[in-house]
Amino acid sequence: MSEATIDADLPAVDPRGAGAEEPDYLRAETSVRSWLLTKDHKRIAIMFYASVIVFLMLGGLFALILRTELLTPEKTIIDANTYNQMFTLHGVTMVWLFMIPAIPGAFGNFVLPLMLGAKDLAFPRINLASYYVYALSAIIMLTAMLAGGADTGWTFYVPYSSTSPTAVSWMGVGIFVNGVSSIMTALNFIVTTHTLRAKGLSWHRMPLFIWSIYGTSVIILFATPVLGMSLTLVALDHSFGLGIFDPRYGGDPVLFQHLFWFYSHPAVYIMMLPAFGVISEVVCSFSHNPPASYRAIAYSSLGIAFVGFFTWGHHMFVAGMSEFDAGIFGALSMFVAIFSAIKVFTWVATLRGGSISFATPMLYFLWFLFLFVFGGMTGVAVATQSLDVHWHDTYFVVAHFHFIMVGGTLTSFLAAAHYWFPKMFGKLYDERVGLLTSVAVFIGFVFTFLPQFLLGNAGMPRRYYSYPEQYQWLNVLSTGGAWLLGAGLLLTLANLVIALKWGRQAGPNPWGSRSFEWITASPPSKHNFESTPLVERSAYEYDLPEEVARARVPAR
Amino acid sequence: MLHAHVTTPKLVIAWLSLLFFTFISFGASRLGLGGWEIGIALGISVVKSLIVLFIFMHLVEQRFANRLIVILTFLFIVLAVSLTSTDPLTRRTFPPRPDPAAHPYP
Ligand code: HEM
Ligand SMILES: [Cu+2]
Repeated sequence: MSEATIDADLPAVDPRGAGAEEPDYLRAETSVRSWLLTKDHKRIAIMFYASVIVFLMLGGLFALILRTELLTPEKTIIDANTYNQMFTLHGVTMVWLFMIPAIPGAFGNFVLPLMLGAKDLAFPRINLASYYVYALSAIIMLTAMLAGGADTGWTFYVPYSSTSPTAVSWMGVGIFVNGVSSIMTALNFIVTTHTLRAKGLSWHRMPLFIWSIYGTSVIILFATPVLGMSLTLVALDHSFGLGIFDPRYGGDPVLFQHLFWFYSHPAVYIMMLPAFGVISEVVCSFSHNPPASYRAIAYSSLGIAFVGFFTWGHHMFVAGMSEFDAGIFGALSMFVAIFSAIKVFTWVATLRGGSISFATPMLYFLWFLFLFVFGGMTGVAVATQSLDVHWHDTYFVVAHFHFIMVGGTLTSFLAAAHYWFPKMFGKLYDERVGLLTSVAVFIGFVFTFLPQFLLGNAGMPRRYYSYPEQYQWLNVLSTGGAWLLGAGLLLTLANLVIALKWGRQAGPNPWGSRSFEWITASPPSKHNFESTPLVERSAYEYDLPEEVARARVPAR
Repeated sequence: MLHAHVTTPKLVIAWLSLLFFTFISFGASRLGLGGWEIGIALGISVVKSLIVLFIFMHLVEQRFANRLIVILTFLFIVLAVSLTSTDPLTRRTFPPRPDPAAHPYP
């Protein structure tokens, strides 16, 4: 840009970032009490961050046990009943204790107020409460696991779940409590976005991450109560034999599936939209380019949130639903692809003409793109009824949703972990190791799940403990991939933990991003900005020189 | 409507009408109307929830933007209920399923 855009009377900006003269949030207070009772969104974010990593490792451990069991056609390490409980625990842990809270809880909490130029979320106490409610739900689920677990799968399908001898009700209570926590967080994000935007920060200047967190929060508010209600009814059926869903007493099991998927299909977007948000930030920051179309990315988040509610029946094509309804749901499901495609094309177009730097988050963007497009297209395939009849309840479905959910959420979680690492901890991680572990994660991932498409197509059912001999070589590949993936994740964690202690100091804005969280010091001071900044530009003005861009958001 | 205040007499009237509707739905359930029962019960509960929302939860005093949330929520419930109920209503496109409830222990 020309000199003319540089105003003569720009306010002086501290090169160390806003608030650098104060102690940062990590060091402002150090007692245990100051952490446990903190109302600082950044500390609560760190608490979520640590917790979701623990649950990722626990869920991952269950997954490795499952995969190791499937190494041979008959018994390898655990018996059939344990296997059933193990896949339930794996699903429940990963879905409700990792994927749903991970990005909003850890990164949403941390950067959303920073991006809005706010001092904190609108309800700091509710924010802390939402962490403890989450922790409580985890405790309830863990005790349910110890008290006999559950062997229904994460979908809790009746009639089996209403008769299973395992701790289904208790697990249901845990998930219910977990939903309360996400509703609290969602409400907090919505209110914060409406009321605490800095002066001058209009809706169309906000970073795209906020749009996707906002869309996520809206889905959570509409969908999660339905899950809470349905699981409560299952628990009542299970404990007291009410017969709401139990056909022995005149209940309708297909009704349960309607209710369950009215939540759980949108829930996949509860997991994916935050991922989209991270990816949008990463793409713009590392190609040093504004998004090819800001509005296309922002509005397609809302579009996905909306149409995501019209498609739940595609999980029930072979459940005994009417042909007519199945037709409607099949057709409606296809619309989701439109909005996803808008996003993908806009991200790719954003790279055009940018000066791209290949740091670790950018590599994760590439993995994300591949897995999301591949997984999304298999989604369109399974939403085609005639194909779904063949693939339903086979490993093909397992591969589809792992590609998209794990591929999408995990890669973008890792992208975020690297991208915001300097902001959160003030240090730089080792870039070469980051790139290396990222490649390991990707190769491990592909080896784990690609064979499962073939297994499913060849007819291997999901949730089976043993299988005919001819499926073995693909299972061996998949198990090997799973171990590689696990190793890649551990190495990633090690790289970040090492950087925490020995990493080089990061400046306030190591990536040269224009998004507002990089205006503050790294790590930010306890109150983020001493006074509400006045925002005079959008979050993506890469045509302004950096000093000017920073001065346009004077955080005085 | 912006400043329509909820006064005590209004609360009492709202409460009485809730009671009234409760009796109506009880009465309707005894008439044996078959398939209509669900529709009538749902209709009555919609009216009752609107009373609760607008009077007891003071929605009448709110701006439109805040009411919009309630309207949207309502539309979502309509969506869930309508697409779900088209399923049992159109299941007859195939020979009727065996009804497990009629023969609980085969
Ligand atoms: C946004 C990313 C998506 C995620 C995270 C996701 C996730 C999932 C999950 C978890 C399941 C398995 C549920 C179970 O345990 O039974 C599933 C199945 C399914 N998905 Fe997706 N999905 C996504 C996108 C799509 C799209 C775009 C479509 C269609 C256009 C689609 C169509 C289906 C269908 C039809 C099934 C059921 C397959 C069967 O059980 O026979 N998905 N998906
Ligand atoms: Cu779905």
